Amino acid sequence: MKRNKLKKSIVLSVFLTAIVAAGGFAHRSESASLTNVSVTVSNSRPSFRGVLGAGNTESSSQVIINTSGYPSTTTDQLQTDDVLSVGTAGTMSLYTITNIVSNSLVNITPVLGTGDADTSDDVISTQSATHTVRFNTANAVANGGFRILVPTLDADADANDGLPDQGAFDFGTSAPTVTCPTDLTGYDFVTGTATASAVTIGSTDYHSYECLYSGTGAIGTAFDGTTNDAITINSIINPAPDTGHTTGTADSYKIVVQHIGSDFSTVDSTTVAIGVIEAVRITASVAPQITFSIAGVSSGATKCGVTTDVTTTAAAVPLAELAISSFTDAAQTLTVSTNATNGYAVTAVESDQLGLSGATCTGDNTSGSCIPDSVGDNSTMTHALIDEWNTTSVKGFGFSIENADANTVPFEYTTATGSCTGTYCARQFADAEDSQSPQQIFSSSTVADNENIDVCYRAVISSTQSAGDYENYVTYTATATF
Amino acid sequence: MNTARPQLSLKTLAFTVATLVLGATVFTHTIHAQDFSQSDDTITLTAIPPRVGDQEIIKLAPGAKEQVQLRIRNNSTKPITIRTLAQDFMLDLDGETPIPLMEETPTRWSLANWLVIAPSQQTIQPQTTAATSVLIEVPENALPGGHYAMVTHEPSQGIALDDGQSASAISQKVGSLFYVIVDGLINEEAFIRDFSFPQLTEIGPVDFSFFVDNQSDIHITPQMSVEIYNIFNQKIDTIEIESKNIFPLYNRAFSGKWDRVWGHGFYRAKLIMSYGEQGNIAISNTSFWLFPVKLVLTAIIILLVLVAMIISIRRHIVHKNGNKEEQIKNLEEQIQSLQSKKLEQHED
Repeated sequence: MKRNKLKKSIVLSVFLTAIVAAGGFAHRSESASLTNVSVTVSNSRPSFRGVLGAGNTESSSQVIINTSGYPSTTTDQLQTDDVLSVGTAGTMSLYTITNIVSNSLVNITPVLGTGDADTSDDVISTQSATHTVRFNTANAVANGGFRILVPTLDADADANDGLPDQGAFDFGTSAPTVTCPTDLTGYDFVTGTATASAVTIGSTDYHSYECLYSGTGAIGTAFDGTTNDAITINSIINPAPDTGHTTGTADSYKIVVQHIGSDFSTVDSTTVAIGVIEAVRITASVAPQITFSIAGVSSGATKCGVTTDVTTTAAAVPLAELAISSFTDAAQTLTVSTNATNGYAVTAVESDQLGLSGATCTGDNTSGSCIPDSVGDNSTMTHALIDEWNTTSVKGFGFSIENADANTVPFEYTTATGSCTGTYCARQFADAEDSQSPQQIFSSSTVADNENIDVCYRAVISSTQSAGDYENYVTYTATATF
Repeated sequence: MNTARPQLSLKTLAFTVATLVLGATVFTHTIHAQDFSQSDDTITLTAIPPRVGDQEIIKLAPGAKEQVQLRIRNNSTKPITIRTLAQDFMLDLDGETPIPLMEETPTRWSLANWLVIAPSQQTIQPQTTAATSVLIEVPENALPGGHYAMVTHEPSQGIALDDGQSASAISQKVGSLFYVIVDGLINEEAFIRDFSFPQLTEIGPVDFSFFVDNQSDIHITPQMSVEIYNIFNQKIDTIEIESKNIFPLYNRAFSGKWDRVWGHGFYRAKLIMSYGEQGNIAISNTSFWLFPVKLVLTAIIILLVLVAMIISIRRHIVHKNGNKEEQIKNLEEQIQSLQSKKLEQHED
């Protein structure tokens, strides 16, 4: 009977113990996960931690990297304008990368200083980032806090020396700033704190960044940067490439986000992974160049203040059937772009006056088989001098300019100086047959991006003009200025 | 279960067809508009690089050869057959615009005849780049110094002008300038001309200008700066002048400004120009005044007027005070006289 009682007692005790234990476990299992957790890193590039290879010399602007045996074995982790520390611990000098030449060679400025060219001297380029932590709370925890754990080296001394660590985040030589959310109902935050290598979970050490608050807390509070502020931690030094790192493949690191109680015990915890990976290096070369374009203009367009009568192409200005008592107007658009220093110049020259079937018109030929270059209303027009040309009784061929955005033009149809009054100011083309040198028609003394003008052609014939087709060639030459 | 499709009414059918026809019409019209605006016949050519032998000097001994490569890009929408040719050039009076020489008579600075272009004609597909090699063959009897030419690319297809109409055929050339130096005894001599500031500037900035007269056998690219000294001969500013090439036996104008608003008197400007392979130096000095004369005169006049007014007022006050003393004295004398009279009457 007694034994039965004892048995019953043991069974009962075991049962009760089991219930208590289960209750305990059940309580722990209430520890939920924070939801919508994300950690955004402002700079995901790995830090560079390598050493100098053999062959470096002082006063050289080239740095040769050792390509084996160290966390960073390739310049893939570097970019132009990165700051490079070179030398031995405590006496490192700063250099700026001007060019990545190859996987083992970079150009720097200034040149390597005294004592900074020894084989196996440290070469370090630190990449830091701001971590922005967003999450929603799962439980209301009174007088608690939020703790972000970032993996670090086991060796505490190296974990906060300000030098990038292989496969781990360095704390930096001074504590990063932890910016906690602005106070809200249920949360009265104190200033955030950061402690190097403060927490160990399993065999992994973590830097700890905390935002503690007083208040009741709340379920489902969104610290998402929109509803309420997120937590930000600045200046955490990114890891150097992890062991076995492959360029272009991200090294993954686990960040732990915890909601802790007033006794610093973990209430809710979520782990998220972040990646650290080289930036894609995009290279392009820009050659000095000059681009020249000629486009036709349709008839009916308004150019140089008149309506064009014919449609031109890039290669021809067909003046069609010329009239005695009215002008025939046409136009083309000329465009230049160049990145040449000191700009460009475009010159124009005609092969000859318009000659019947392309026949030669010697000198200023005004015979019936040549359409002469116009002399303008005041008879002062030449290939070098402008004159107004509105009178159809003044026969011939000439041109004017409407400047869209070219830097410099010698004149425009609106020019109202000298013999021009500004209605249709015109000039002759330089006549190569008459030994006249090409004349500049637009230019720039600096680089140009699609600078263009309209060249307007005008012709009118006399009553004594022989019937037939008249032709000449106009050559535009675009080059850099001397 | 009713699985039959709803039948289209005639109205719906007509509406649909009308919509499709209208849409097709609009769409077709849009395509036409696009084709038109695209202007297929625009010819756009790019020459790469614009200058050869400018930054990276090409210096060859007589009899030497060197080959350089040019690139031509056809940015047009059609294949273009390009002809490449070399031409000598001189400069316009501005000293910077290359003017292709129409005559083929070589000059002291000619280079075109020494250039062998291969290929000199090629067809380039749209949006592609082709290369042309230019072999520079310097003759044994070449004169030492600078030699210059332009290598231009132009569409070579003949212009088929329609019968029954007059026309100007257009030829467009775009190209590279060549700067070749033939090694040997090269004279390098340049002068600064007409370095001047306005004699008097009241309020800055102060403009200045000068010419560089290149009497060398070669083009020069002078490095220039203007140093400004105050009346105590202390250097107070340095103005860097943007450098430009200057063709042999040419003048080229330069200008700049001293970006100073207020000055306090006399200044001296020193233009230092270094040029050539030998590191030659040319120096020119000038002087000028930067002083707000009108402003200072106005201030002085105002001051003088104020002083005059103060003196006048003071004198008036003094004069006024002087009168009172005289009146008091007169009154005192009158009182004394009356008292004397009273005493005399009393004594009588």
